[in-house]
Amino acid sequence: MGVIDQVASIIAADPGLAVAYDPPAQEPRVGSFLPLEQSHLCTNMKEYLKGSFPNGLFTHQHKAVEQVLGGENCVVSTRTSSGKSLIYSLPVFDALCHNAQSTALFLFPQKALANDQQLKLRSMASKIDGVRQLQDANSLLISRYDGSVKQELRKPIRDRAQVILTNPDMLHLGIMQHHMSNWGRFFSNLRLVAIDECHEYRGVFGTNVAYILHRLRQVCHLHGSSPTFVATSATVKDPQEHMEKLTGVKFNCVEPEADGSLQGRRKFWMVRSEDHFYDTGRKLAKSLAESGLTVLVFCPSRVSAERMIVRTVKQEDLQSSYVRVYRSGLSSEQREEIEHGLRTRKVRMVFSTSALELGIDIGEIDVVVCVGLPHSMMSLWQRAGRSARGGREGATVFIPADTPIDSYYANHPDELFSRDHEPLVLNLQNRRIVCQQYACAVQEIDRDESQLNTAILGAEMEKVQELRLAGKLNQDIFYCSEPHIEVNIRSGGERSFSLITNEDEEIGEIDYFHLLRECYTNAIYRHGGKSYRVLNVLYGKKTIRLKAEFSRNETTPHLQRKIRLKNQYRVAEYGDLRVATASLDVTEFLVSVSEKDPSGKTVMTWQGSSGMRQYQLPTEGTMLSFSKPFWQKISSKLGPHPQSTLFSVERLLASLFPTISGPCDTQDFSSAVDRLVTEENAIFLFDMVFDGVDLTSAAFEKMSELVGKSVERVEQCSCTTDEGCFRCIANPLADEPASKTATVVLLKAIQSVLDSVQPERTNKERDWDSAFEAQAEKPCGTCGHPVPNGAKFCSECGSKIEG
Amino acid sequence: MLNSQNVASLFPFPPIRCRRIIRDTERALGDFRLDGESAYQLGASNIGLLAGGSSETRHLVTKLRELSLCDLPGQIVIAFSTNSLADTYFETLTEDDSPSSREDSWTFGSVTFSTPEKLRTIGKPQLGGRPVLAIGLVDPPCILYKARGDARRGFAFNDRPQHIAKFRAAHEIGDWRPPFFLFTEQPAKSLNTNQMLGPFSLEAWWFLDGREIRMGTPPTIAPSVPAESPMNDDNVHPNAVPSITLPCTLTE
Repeated sequence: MGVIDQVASIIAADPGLAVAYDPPAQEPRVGSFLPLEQSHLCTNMKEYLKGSFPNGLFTHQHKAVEQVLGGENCVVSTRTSSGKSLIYSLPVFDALCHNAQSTALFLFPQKALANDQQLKLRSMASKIDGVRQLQDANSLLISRYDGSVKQELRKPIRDRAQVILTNPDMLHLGIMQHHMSNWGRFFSNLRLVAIDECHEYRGVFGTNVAYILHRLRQVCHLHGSSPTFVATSATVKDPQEHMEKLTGVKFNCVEPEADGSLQGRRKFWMVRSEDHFYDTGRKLAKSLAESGLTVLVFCPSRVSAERMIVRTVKQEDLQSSYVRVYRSGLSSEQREEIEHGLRTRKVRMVFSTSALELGIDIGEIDVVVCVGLPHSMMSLWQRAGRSARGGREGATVFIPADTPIDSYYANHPDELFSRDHEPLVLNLQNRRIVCQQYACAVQEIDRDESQLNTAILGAEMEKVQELRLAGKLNQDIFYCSEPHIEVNIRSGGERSFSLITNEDEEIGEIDYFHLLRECYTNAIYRHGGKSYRVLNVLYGKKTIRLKAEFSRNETTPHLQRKIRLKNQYRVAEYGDLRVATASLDVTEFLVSVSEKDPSGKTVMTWQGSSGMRQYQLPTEGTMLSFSKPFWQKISSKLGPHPQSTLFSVERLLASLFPTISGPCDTQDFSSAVDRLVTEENAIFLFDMVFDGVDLTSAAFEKMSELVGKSVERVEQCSCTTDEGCFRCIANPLADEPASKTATVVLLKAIQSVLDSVQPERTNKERDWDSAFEAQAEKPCGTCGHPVPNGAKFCSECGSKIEG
Repeated sequence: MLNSQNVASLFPFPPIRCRRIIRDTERALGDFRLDGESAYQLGASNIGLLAGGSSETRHLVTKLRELSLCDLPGQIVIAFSTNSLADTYFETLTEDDSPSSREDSWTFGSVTFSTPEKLRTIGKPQLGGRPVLAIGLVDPPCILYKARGDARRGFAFNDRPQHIAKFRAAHEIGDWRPPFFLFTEQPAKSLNTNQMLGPFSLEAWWFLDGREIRMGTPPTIAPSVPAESPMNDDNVHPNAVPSITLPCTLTE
């Protein structure tokens, strides 16, 4: 029996499972090849390909390789498992055959990807005449250079490696910073830069990577080289435009339509049950694994992945079982053990976060189970692409979560599967990032700002240079001796925290954002299926002290948000309501922690912040505020808990936002209810990245549509009680019960105002030039001390600043 | 609504005078005199005065005594950062060595003394129905701005700088708030003065050289006296501050 039939029978055999979506299987496709004679690869390469790929290259591979050999930058956006890694590997080895000194840089968003590719490249090199000899003479010819490489190996790699596999973090921190002293040979011979999984470079991380790549071009220019760029991704929208923004150079594109790859038979299901969706996913995955299939279970979060493994296998049996958990924060040894186990089929069931959704070749995954619908279409197709690789059969089972958005798509599955990939947002005008990257770029040219190559670095850097040379920008970052260390390219925030056990063993790390959600004081923190109690969070040392503790209890943090409204840009005044796009300061803080036993009974509560610092996020979003008379009038119709009705509306608007914005990652935005200084209640939808990426501003024009969809979700929900369910308005963390009736009353009142009143609109455009100017400084008229633009008083003498 | 002319009527003479300086370089910016014009500017723009590097406690006692002797149309309120400091000043000013007799706030001529927590107990009777002209905080180590309470550890919430800010707000006249002085032994350049603005609800600081602060009725310029002219009957120089018995009244 094939994989698809096996999965179908297991689903059919479970009476608790209801199939919500069951499209016909996608039939396999034969590959379309071009003979090697047409290729401009060297003879050695052709000999190798004849042995390993007797049918030749797929048409899209051939097209892309030819473009790269011709020195043209190229991005390939064919589907998963279409042989994209071969496209950037072949030109590298071809270059080595022609010039034994040439070098190449491979950039992967995750360390695990680099690890996987290093094995493949070394194996490939050993089969190519000319390259094999180089590798025999130099065992470090192809080497990873990232944070997990041992210190004693780093110098030999710097001195001898010619193909470096790394990630943007290491390129920024460990390579570019020291390019003069350690990397002169490498950069002066650099012929090719390969950027794998280029869709991962979006948001704050993407913007930082864009500037890192611009800086890389500046460094190459200094060393006299001009590498060709090649990029790949299976799930990228507008690949050409994205790569041009990312690197600042022109790109050609090999689009999905040119895909000539061999594809296996593939089938999707969406199933639901009356159980909690975690239990549904866990039980289904267990049945599939017990029937001999290899199952990869994607969980919504790290905490859920850890909870699911704890409920699947006993802690003492963890090592001997075939079940593992895979997520960020694991050590490289732990990750490699799991990847190796999957290849050898010793590990057959993995609870994973999004960490495994990128193109790691993790062996023959038969079935992918997605517990909760993926946050983005990119994620959905990447996850589905982990099965049915190399022409084999594969199946993907989606289990919608008990949330309004998942319930919406469970009722409209065709709408979900017909969606396009999300547009990749890069905010190259982000002032904070530009200033940080400028400081790094200056350090890389020996601190002579006037020599900065702004033709390569871009217009924003040029603007900063002008202000700096005029003595108008004096932030601390420009005076750091090592600005690279101060820049967190992943989040734009602070450095991560190390997790240290009571045996002084470092088991991983966690970033600032997840601290308040997973690793707060007194939390039970799960790591690799083991439980720890968080004893202390040492902010100064960036360390978290843990103590091993066997417990099946779970802790839940109760967080609150405060919003400070800074500026309003586009405003639509409806009289009773106001809709506006705005810049905001979001402050998140811990209010209490509760610990529950497996039966759900609360066994302990810690009130207050437990010493945890608040998390602050300057960002942008859309605000819906209610005038005081409107709120007084409507709140009398909302029953005993008008405030909880407001929270229900906020939850619905935020949950259903992707249905009106077009595809977007639900982790990239969030929502809150707060009271303005004018005492008016307001609902905020905001971007979850520093300084915003213009995502939630989409709600400004479509607020009425969003409210309409919220009404539909509540009215169509199958739950029978007025308190609702998690699929409509119920919130597991709310103190007061919600009411469906009240929620519909409020939503309809909002909709009636939005639909019947002609708004008075005002527009205040954001001017990036003046935003930079606002960061600039001018001398105080009294004492001459530099004062930031916009300051009312001089901080040195207290004199009033005019203008 | 107050304007600079109205405020000038509250300050017939400048009871506090000092050299105004730049925070970091301590370069002089000219003389500061707490007169109607400057008081209006400080109060209307919500600017505080930081007299850093002020002389030791004993020296400031003398100056405060001189300030209390001024004949002003309002009261100046001085808060001490700690009870023990208040006790010390009480003993020195009243020459009473039993601090237990000290009330929460006590008036001493034109000056009413208290601690930040007890400022709220100062009502119109204690001020004799007169307006508050200025508020000073004596905080030698300059730490009070950090004392904003710690409810999470079970202590009652006690935001000490906010007591001062609230007292100023309670005694504002129109848009004008009584100017705020901070007397500290720390030089301003050693302090994070920007961070200190928020707790006291201020917009900016003017920095004074605390070593040169002068309080009390300013000396009048006497007509030139011939060298051979005899001293007056009391054998006292005409510019000398007269010594009088202190009108010390303890609040109820």
